Amino acid sequence: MRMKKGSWLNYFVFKNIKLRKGRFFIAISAVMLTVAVLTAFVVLSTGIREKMSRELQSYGANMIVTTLTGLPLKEDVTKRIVSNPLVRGFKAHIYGTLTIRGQELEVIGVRKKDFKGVRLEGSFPEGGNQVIVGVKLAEALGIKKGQSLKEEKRGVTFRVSGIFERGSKADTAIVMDLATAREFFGIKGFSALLLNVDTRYISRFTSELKRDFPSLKITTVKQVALAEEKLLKKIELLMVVVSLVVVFSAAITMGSTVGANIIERMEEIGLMKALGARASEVGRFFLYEAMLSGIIGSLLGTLAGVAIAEAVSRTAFNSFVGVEIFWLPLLICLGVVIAVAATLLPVRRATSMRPSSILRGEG
Amino acid sequence: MSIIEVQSLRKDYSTAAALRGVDLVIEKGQWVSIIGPSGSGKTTLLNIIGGLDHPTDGKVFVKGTDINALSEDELSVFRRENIGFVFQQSHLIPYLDATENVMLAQYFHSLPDRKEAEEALKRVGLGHRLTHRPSQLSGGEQQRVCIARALINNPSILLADEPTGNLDRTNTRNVLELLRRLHQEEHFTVVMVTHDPYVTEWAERVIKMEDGRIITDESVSG
Repeated sequence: MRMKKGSWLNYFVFKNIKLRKGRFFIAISAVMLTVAVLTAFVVLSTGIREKMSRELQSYGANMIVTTLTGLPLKEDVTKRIVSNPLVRGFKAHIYGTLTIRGQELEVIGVRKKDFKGVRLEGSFPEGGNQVIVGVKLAEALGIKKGQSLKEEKRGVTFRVSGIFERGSKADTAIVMDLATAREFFGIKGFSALLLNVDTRYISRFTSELKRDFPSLKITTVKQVALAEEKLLKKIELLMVVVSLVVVFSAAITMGSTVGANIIERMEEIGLMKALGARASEVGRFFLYEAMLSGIIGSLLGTLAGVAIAEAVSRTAFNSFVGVEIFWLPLLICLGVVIAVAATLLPVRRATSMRPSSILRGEG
Repeated sequence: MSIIEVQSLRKDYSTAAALRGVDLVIEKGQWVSIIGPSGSGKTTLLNIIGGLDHPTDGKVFVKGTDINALSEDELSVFRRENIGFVFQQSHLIPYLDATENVMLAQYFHSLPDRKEAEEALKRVGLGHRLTHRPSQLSGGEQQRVCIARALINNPSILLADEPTGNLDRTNTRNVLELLRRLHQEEHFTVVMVTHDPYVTEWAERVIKMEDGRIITDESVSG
């Protein structure tokens, strides 16, 4: 019974693979390593900016928005600003003053969830006339937790629910809950918005805000923004360099594996040509095998790459990184292309030789 | 009627000339032995006739086709349609069994056919070795597989380069007897290179080469 050409090709290639498992395994490993590194790089680099940005938000705001007139920001303006996708996070503040013991003291109204990165002895003021006092102010005025403070202008008494230390200018201020501050100072809207904006688009965002809201005063906290961007760029560069080095060495491994495989099989190539095989027909056997190692290696490499990326993300950010699925088929194709391309050159060189030279052992 | 015609053939290598102007005509169905010492140019001549190598100068007509005028791909197709090779080294694919090694030649020619390949092996006396790998066969058996492989596509010319070079006298005789039988049955042309005078005794015509030239060309009677 006559066999179809394709069936024979399969049969021949799989028989060869079965006999030369070791070589095939090395070829697969080389593809796998290359694709794993590429996958890990792609997954991490697409996810890392978001992760890092989230981490970097703890650096604080990189933009402060107030009004040129000193009036509070209106609620609708605030909503439009914070709903911009470039805004990664925001804190709304209300500023005012309390007259206590004959002194005008600065007050910041803030939400509890926004009051982070602070050492607090006591509890955040919740409801009622509670405040917390900055450590420097407390020391200066001898204020203690649990004490009452009388606001002299309005005749309202506040209870000190805690003493906080931020290590900044805020340590000389009094902090109260945002809602309490609003009510107390009779402010609709906010005194200031502290934004954390994606550093890549900070200039664009500033221009847009100025165009849409000419009455706003926008201050960029340059140190924070620049530090963020510099750090992100450094990390990205490091990842590119490491990936290039690994991919380069993996490509060399793959090239030498294929090269050694071809040298070992030169006699076969010479024989096939003597039997009347065209160069393309000889190449088909080797490229088919390369394609198989490419597909298997790429599939395994992609899985390994995702696992590596997740492990790195878990270690560095304590959370998993999101995988953009459309990258995976692209990476698999890339692995196959690399495997086939690495095979193409040595096969072309071998098949262009005269069969007589190969069979004489001159290959 | 001539099947092979060689005109003023030269082959120069960087270090020396392998062929220095060879003229030769081989008739269809002839069994020709080319004998000569090592380096006399006999294998080079055979390779050029088979399109495995190119001459530096001169012409080679096989079945009326100027094979040097063919492209590499055309030459490959010409080889598989017209020529079968048997080499001193068997050059069998180690991971294929005897039948599959024969089928490989079918694959490049047309379509592999296991039954036909098995028949070919039975004709060379290897019906009991169909599924044996080359490493499981003796030297004589390996050469028989090569003969079956060379003849599976019914070539009009069989080119053999020292086919018995690695065999003892008994196996040499067995292989030659087999070739003679097939030659008589199928009437293909045999051009066999050898340095063994015993092998030339089986030929109808013996060409002696030395230093890249034909020294003698004699027809041998029965």
